[in-house]
Amino acid sequence: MQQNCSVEWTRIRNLLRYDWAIDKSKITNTLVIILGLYTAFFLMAYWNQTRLGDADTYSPEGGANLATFATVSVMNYFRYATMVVLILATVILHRKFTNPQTSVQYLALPGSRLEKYIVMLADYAIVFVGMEVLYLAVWALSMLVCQLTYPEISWWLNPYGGYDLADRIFDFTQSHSTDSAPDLFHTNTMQLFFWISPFINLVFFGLWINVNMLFSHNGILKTIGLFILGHIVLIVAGITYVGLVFEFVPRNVDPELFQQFPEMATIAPFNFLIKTAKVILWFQIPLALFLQWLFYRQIAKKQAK
Amino acid sequence: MIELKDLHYGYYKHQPVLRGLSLRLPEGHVYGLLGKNGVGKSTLLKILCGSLTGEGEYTLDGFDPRRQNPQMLERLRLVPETERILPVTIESLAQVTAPFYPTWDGEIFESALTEFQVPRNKQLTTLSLGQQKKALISLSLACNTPYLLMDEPTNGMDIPSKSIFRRLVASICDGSKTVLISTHQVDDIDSLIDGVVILENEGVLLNASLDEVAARLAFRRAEKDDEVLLTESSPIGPWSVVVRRPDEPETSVNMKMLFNAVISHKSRIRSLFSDKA
Repeated sequence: MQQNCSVEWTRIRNLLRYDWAIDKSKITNTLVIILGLYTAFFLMAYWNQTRLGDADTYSPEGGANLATFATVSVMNYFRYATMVVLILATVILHRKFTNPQTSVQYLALPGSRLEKYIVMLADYAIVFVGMEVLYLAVWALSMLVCQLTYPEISWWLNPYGGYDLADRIFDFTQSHSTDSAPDLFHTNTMQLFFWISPFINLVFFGLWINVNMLFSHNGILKTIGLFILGHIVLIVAGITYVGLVFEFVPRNVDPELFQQFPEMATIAPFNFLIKTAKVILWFQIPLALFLQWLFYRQIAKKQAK
Repeated sequence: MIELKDLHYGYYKHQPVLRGLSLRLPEGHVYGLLGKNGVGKSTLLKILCGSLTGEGEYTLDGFDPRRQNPQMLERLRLVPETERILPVTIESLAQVTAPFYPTWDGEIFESALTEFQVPRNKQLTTLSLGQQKKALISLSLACNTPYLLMDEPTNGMDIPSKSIFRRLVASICDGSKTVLISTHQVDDIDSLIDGVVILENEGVLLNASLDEVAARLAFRRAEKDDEVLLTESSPIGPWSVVVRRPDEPETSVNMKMLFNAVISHKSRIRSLFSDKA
């Protein structure tokens, strides 16, 4: 079937206005709830941590660990809130394009399928950017609380902030306050994983929609199952990867440390792995777009049943 | 003009809904689209607006709905039987819907809302089913498109609202608009339509104007030599659908009895209207 692929900005603008009008309350309510929950969580945890203390965190000035805590909290927030928002966006888009009560009227609005597809991607991008803005806002808020609480410490750049999250997930016991090579290795690796994580989510978002479209019965249940399974595979693969590299390869990727410790000459294989991981990371973006394209193709077949 | 030639559609591979449907509906009329449950009335409306993709040749005003041409979509508005009720007021919804349709007429919108007595500033989700329906119909009427496809529009409406609905639809039909109303509530539209299409899975059982129906069939008490197609009891005694005698005056069409007669005497109806289907 040859579909109309014309694109006109006025119609795209109309579709975006329509989308925002019909979904704004759902999106804003969810973002506000996420922000509220995070703030409550942050304040509660902060109160608890300042009361009990935490030995396994960076404390250059001999006391406060709030910077690490704040950074870890923000990263946690970013990770889980991003996931929630992506799921929300998926559900909204799924309803818009495949639910019998919504898709028929929406697809009958004047606009080519390509325009509606562009608007769908724009919706997703807006939600994602909104998420990022919230993330920055929460980060700034956290830092402000830190600054007000312990003005004697520089909070704005704490290189060890994110490492403790990795520590907690993988239950490593080494302290991050030393410059030992193993620590730098695993923290760098973990940083890479955290850096990848939002993009992995993006891929799963595409996968989720696409797989969901393929199932006629209990599609949502099956795809949620696959979604969870996919994440388990990802986590297991990540742990295996870290475990293997950590076990068999010299552990430093920092060029300066590499110069300081010439015996780490066998670092090459690990660097190769890091480069490969980065290539894979950038591959995720076209992969996500490809999956979106698959979704676009399937809309016509599965919608409005 | 809506033209279908050998249209096929099935939601599942081995369960076709429409099998070789051929139909020609000239513009400027109000058609009633009737049929038993599951014969594909709603499906046909979705196919015509391009939301579903059928096999075969079919066009709306010369456009192939499968291509979802924006120019075609600007010329039609669909009122689905069920649609997602949005947490917005009808006025807010109108503000974002109007820019899609160059033919949008705010006066029609205002007068329809007024006649239906729909609250303008309440969220649609807080309205009753009938009020929601009336609000969304007002919106669709105001789109003022040359083609208006309506799927069970009177479901949930009270009796006075049904009269208002008929009046409003009649008021926008100036001879340039084509309205296709799919319904089981034939009494709600019998004074509104001037053409009737009765579907079954295998195709069209009847496609005729009410004038043509009245010219071929009579709705009255059966007499001795009548060819009776259907007899039903009524408050004034048995009432029948009979083949009209050439010399007798035309009677008004009873849509419910017509439908039952067509369903129960398919081959005879086909032969009576053989120059139409």
